[in-house]
Amino acid sequence: MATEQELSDFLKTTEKRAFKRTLYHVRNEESALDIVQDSMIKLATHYGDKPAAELPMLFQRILSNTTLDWFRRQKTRNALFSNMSDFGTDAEGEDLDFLENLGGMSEPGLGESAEDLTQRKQIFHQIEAEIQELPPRQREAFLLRYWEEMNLSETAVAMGCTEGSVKTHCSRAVQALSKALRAKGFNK
Amino acid sequence: MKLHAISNMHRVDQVGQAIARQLNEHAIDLPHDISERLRVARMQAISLRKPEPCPTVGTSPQHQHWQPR
Repeated sequence: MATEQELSDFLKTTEKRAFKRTLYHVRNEESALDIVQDSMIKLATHYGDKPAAELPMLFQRILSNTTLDWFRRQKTRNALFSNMSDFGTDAEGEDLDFLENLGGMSEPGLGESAEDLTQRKQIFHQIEAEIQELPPRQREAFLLRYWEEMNLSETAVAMGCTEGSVKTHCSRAVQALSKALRAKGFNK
Repeated sequence: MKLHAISNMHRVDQVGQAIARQLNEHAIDLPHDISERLRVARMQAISLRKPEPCPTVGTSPQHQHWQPR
Protein backbone atom coordinates (compact mmCIF):
# COMPACT_ATOMS: atom_id res chain seq x y z
CA MET A 1 0.00 0.00 0.00
CA ALA A 2 1.04 3.60 -0.54
CA THR A 3 2.85 5.15 2.39
CA GLU A 4 1.83 8.53 3.71
CA GLN A 5 4.90 10.00 2.03
CA GLU A 6 4.00 8.40 -1.33
CA LEU A 7 0.46 9.73 -1.12
CA SER A 8 1.74 13.17 -0.22
CA ASP A 9 4.29 13.15 -3.05
CA PHE A 10 1.65 12.03 -5.53
CA LEU A 11 -0.77 14.78 -4.53
CA LYS A 12 2.01 17.35 -4.61
CA THR A 13 2.93 16.50 -8.19
CA THR A 14 -0.71 16.34 -9.29
CA GLU A 15 -2.52 19.15 -7.50
CA LYS A 16 -1.65 22.05 -9.82
CA ARG A 17 -2.52 20.19 -12.98
CA ALA A 18 -5.69 18.91 -11.36
CA PHE A 19 -6.64 22.46 -10.45
CA LYS A 20 -6.03 23.77 -13.97
CA ARG A 21 -7.87 20.87 -15.56
CA THR A 22 -10.85 21.47 -13.29
CA LEU A 23 -10.69 25.20 -13.92
CA TYR A 24 -10.94 24.58 -17.67
CA HIS A 25 -14.18 22.72 -16.97
CA VAL A 26 -15.91 24.86 -14.35
CA ARG A 27 -14.33 28.26 -15.13
CA ASN A 28 -14.44 29.34 -11.51
CA GLU A 29 -11.38 29.33 -9.24
CA GLU A 30 -13.24 28.82 -5.97
CA SER A 31 -15.23 25.91 -7.36
CA ALA A 32 -12.14 24.36 -8.92
CA LEU A 33 -10.31 24.58 -5.58
CA ASP A 34 -13.26 22.99 -3.77
CA ILE A 35 -13.45 20.15 -6.30
CA VAL A 36 -9.72 19.41 -6.10
CA GLN A 37 -9.83 19.52 -2.30
CA ASP A 38 -12.83 17.17 -2.18
CA SER A 39 -11.09 14.81 -4.59
CA MET A 40 -7.91 14.76 -2.52
CA ILE A 41 -9.88 13.98 0.63
CA LYS A 42 -11.86 11.22 -1.11
CA LEU A 43 -8.66 9.66 -2.40
CA ALA A 44 -6.99 9.78 1.01
CA THR A 45 -9.95 8.58 3.05
CA HIS A 46 -11.26 5.86 0.71
CA TYR A 47 -8.20 4.73 -1.19
CA GLY A 48 -5.27 5.73 1.02
CA ASP A 49 -4.52 2.04 1.51
CA LYS A 50 -4.16 1.28 -2.21
CA PRO A 51 -0.79 0.69 -3.88
CA ALA A 52 0.98 3.86 -5.00
CA ALA A 53 0.81 2.76 -8.65
CA GLU A 54 -2.99 2.84 -8.55
CA LEU A 55 -3.25 6.38 -7.20
CA PRO A 56 -3.05 8.29 -10.53
CA MET A 57 -5.93 6.42 -12.15
CA LEU A 58 -8.03 6.50 -9.00
CA PHE A 59 -7.46 10.22 -8.57
CA GLN A 60 -8.34 11.06 -12.18
CA ARG A 61 -11.55 9.07 -11.84
CA ILE A 62 -12.44 10.73 -8.55
CA LEU A 63 -11.67 14.17 -9.96
CA SER A 64 -13.89 13.53 -12.99
CA ASN A 65 -16.73 12.27 -10.84
CA THR A 66 -16.44 15.13 -8.37
CA THR A 67 -16.49 17.61 -11.24
CA LEU A 68 -19.56 15.88 -12.63
CA ASP A 69 -21.23 16.08 -9.20
CA TRP A 70 -20.50 19.80 -9.18
CA PHE A 71 -22.22 20.20 -12.53
CA ARG A 72 -25.16 18.16 -11.29
CA ARG A 73 -25.46 20.45 -8.31
CA GLN A 74 -25.36 23.39 -10.66
CA LYS A 75 -28.19 21.75 -12.57
CA THR A 76 -26.25 21.93 -15.78
CA ARG A 77 -25.86 18.23 -16.34
CA ASN A 78 -27.65 18.44 -19.64
CA ALA A 79 -25.29 21.12 -20.80
CA LEU A 80 -22.30 19.05 -19.70
CA PHE A 81 -23.36 16.00 -21.59
CA SER A 82 -24.86 17.74 -24.55
CA ASN A 83 -22.71 16.27 -27.22
CA MET A 84 -24.54 17.91 -30.08
CA SER A 85 -21.47 19.78 -31.17
CA ASP A 86 -19.60 16.47 -31.24
CA PHE A 87 -21.46 15.66 -34.40
CA GLY A 88 -20.09 18.58 -36.33
CA THR A 89 -18.32 17.93 -39.59
CA ASP A 90 -14.58 17.61 -39.59
CA ALA A 91 -12.37 18.87 -42.35
CA GLU A 92 -9.75 16.19 -41.86
CA GLY A 93 -6.17 16.93 -42.60
CA GLU A 94 -5.88 20.57 -43.50
CA ASP A 95 -6.51 21.91 -40.02
CA LEU A 96 -3.68 19.84 -38.65
CA ASP A 97 -1.06 21.11 -41.03
CA PHE A 98 -0.08 24.36 -39.36
CA LEU A 99 0.40 22.66 -36.05
CA GLU A 100 3.46 20.93 -37.36
CA ASN A 101 5.00 24.36 -36.95
CA LEU A 102 3.57 24.62 -33.48
CA GLY A 103 4.91 21.22 -32.56
CA GLY A 104 8.25 22.04 -34.08
CA MET A 105 8.74 25.22 -32.10
CA SER A 106 11.90 25.09 -30.09
CA GLU A 107 11.73 24.61 -26.36
CA PRO A 108 12.08 27.84 -24.37
CA GLY A 109 15.69 28.58 -23.58
CA LEU A 110 18.12 31.22 -22.48
CA GLY A 111 18.49 32.54 -26.02
CA GLU A 112 14.78 33.13 -26.46
CA SER A 113 13.94 36.67 -27.54
CA ALA A 114 11.25 38.80 -25.93
CA GLU A 115 9.28 38.50 -29.13
CA ASP A 116 9.40 34.70 -29.01
CA LEU A 117 8.35 34.74 -25.39
CA THR A 118 5.43 37.05 -26.11
CA GLN A 119 4.29 34.89 -29.01
CA ARG A 120 4.56 31.79 -26.86
CA LYS A 121 2.40 33.37 -24.17
CA GLN A 122 -0.15 34.48 -26.76
CA ILE A 123 -0.38 30.94 -28.08
CA PHE A 124 -0.74 29.60 -24.55
CA HIS A 125 -3.58 31.98 -23.69
CA GLN A 126 -5.32 31.20 -26.97
CA ILE A 127 -5.01 27.46 -26.42
CA GLU A 128 -6.44 27.85 -22.91
CA ALA A 129 -9.37 29.85 -24.27
CA GLU A 130 -10.05 27.34 -27.03
CA ILE A 131 -9.88 24.39 -24.65
CA GLN A 132 -12.57 26.01 -22.54
CA GLU A 133 -14.75 26.25 -25.64
CA LEU A 134 -14.54 22.52 -26.41
CA PRO A 135 -17.53 20.29 -25.64
CA PRO A 136 -16.98 18.75 -22.18
CA ARG A 137 -16.28 15.18 -23.29
CA GLN A 138 -13.84 16.32 -25.95
CA ARG A 139 -12.09 18.58 -23.43
CA GLU A 140 -11.87 15.75 -20.92
CA ALA A 141 -10.48 13.33 -23.48
CA PHE A 142 -7.94 15.85 -24.77
CA LEU A 143 -6.67 16.78 -21.30
CA LEU A 144 -6.43 13.22 -20.04
CA ARG A 145 -4.85 11.82 -23.19
CA TYR A 146 -2.39 14.57 -24.09
CA TRP A 147 -1.93 16.71 -21.01
CA GLU A 148 -2.03 13.98 -18.37
CA GLU A 149 -0.28 11.70 -20.89
CA MET A 150 -2.55 8.74 -20.27
CA ASN A 151 -2.72 5.98 -22.85
CA LEU A 152 -5.93 5.11 -24.68
CA SER A 153 -6.92 2.39 -22.28
CA GLU A 154 -6.34 4.52 -19.17
CA THR A 155 -8.25 7.44 -20.65
CA ALA A 156 -11.17 5.15 -21.49
CA VAL A 157 -11.27 3.82 -17.94
CA ALA A 158 -11.03 7.32 -16.44
CA MET A 159 -13.83 8.57 -18.68
CA GLY A 160 -15.97 5.45 -18.36
CA CYS A 161 -16.20 4.91 -22.12
CA THR A 162 -14.65 2.79 -24.86
CA GLU A 163 -11.24 3.34 -26.43
CA GLY A 164 -13.03 4.03 -29.71
CA SER A 165 -14.95 6.86 -28.09
CA VAL A 166 -11.73 8.29 -26.68
CA LYS A 167 -10.21 8.27 -30.17
CA THR A 168 -13.26 10.02 -31.57
CA HIS A 169 -13.30 12.67 -28.84
CA CYS A 170 -9.56 13.27 -29.15
CA SER A 171 -9.69 13.51 -32.90
CA ARG A 172 -12.56 16.01 -32.82
CA ALA A 173 -10.92 18.02 -30.06
CA VAL A 174 -7.64 18.30 -31.93
CA GLN A 175 -9.42 19.19 -35.16
CA ALA A 176 -11.44 21.87 -33.37
CA LEU A 177 -8.39 23.32 -31.60
CA SER A 178 -6.38 23.34 -34.80
CA LYS A 179 -9.15 25.02 -36.71
CA ALA A 180 -9.72 27.64 -34.02
CA LEU A 181 -6.03 28.43 -33.63
CA ARG A 182 -5.60 28.68 -37.36
CA ALA A 183 -8.56 31.07 -37.53
CA LYS A 184 -6.88 33.24 -34.89
CA GLY A 185 -3.84 33.53 -37.08
CA PHE A 186 -1.50 31.10 -35.34
CA ASN A 187 -0.39 29.59 -38.57
CA LYS A 188 3.12 30.85 -39.03
CA MET B 1 -8.59 2.00 -45.18
CA LYS B 2 -7.50 0.78 -41.77
CA LEU B 3 -3.93 1.90 -42.39
CA HIS B 4 -5.23 5.35 -43.28
CA ALA B 5 -7.20 5.49 -40.03
CA ILE B 6 -4.16 4.45 -37.99
CA SER B 7 -1.98 6.99 -39.74
CA ASN B 8 -4.54 9.71 -39.20
CA MET B 9 -4.85 8.87 -35.50
CA HIS B 10 -1.08 8.95 -35.17
CA ARG B 11 -1.11 12.40 -36.70
CA VAL B 12 -3.89 13.54 -34.37
CA ASP B 13 -1.83 12.28 -31.43
CA GLN B 14 1.22 14.19 -32.60
CA VAL B 15 -0.72 17.42 -32.93
CA GLY B 16 -2.49 16.86 -29.61
CA GLN B 17 0.85 16.33 -27.89
CA ALA B 18 2.24 19.47 -29.53
CA ILE B 19 -0.67 21.55 -28.24
CA ALA B 20 -0.34 20.01 -24.78
CA ARG B 21 3.37 20.89 -24.73
CA GLN B 22 2.51 24.53 -25.35
CA LEU B 23 0.00 24.33 -22.54
CA ASN B 24 2.50 22.74 -20.20
CA GLU B 25 4.92 25.62 -20.30
CA HIS B 26 2.65 28.06 -18.50
CA ALA B 27 -0.38 26.24 -17.19
CA ILE B 28 1.00 25.32 -13.80
CA ASP B 29 2.42 28.75 -13.01
CA LEU B 30 -0.26 29.41 -10.44
CA PRO B 31 -0.62 32.48 -8.22
CA HIS B 32 0.82 32.05 -4.73
CA ASP B 33 -2.55 32.10 -2.99
CA ILE B 34 -3.86 29.26 -5.15
CA SER B 35 -0.71 27.21 -4.62
CA GLU B 36 -0.99 27.80 -0.88
CA ARG B 37 -4.62 26.72 -0.76
CA LEU B 38 -3.77 23.58 -2.69
CA ARG B 39 -0.97 22.86 -0.22
CA VAL B 40 -3.35 23.26 2.73
CA ALA B 41 -5.92 21.03 1.00
CA ARG B 42 -3.24 18.39 0.49
CA MET B 43 -2.19 18.51 4.13
CA GLN B 44 -5.81 18.14 5.21
CA ALA B 45 -6.31 15.16 2.90
CA ILE B 46 -3.16 13.49 4.23
CA SER B 47 -4.34 13.98 7.81
CA LEU B 48 -7.58 12.17 6.93
CA ARG B 49 -5.81 9.30 5.18
CA LYS B 50 -7.29 5.85 5.65
CA PRO B 51 -5.20 4.31 8.41
CA GLU B 52 -2.94 1.35 7.73
CA PRO B 53 -4.38 -1.92 9.02
CA CYS B 54 -2.71 -3.03 12.24
CA PRO B 55 -0.93 -6.39 12.01
CA THR B 56 -3.07 -9.01 13.78
CA VAL B 57 -1.44 -10.69 16.75
CA GLY B 58 -1.43 -14.47 16.46
CA THR B 59 -1.13 -14.86 12.72
CA SER B 60 2.65 -15.00 12.61
CA PRO B 61 4.12 -18.48 12.04
CA GLN B 62 5.48 -18.84 15.57
CA HIS B 63 1.96 -18.34 16.98
CA GLN B 64 0.11 -20.63 14.62
CA HIS B 65 0.92 -23.86 16.46
CA TRP B 66 0.88 -22.47 19.93
CA GLN B 67 -1.17 -24.55 22.32
CA PRO B 68 -2.20 -23.48 25.84
CA ARG B 69 -0.89 -25.77 28.56
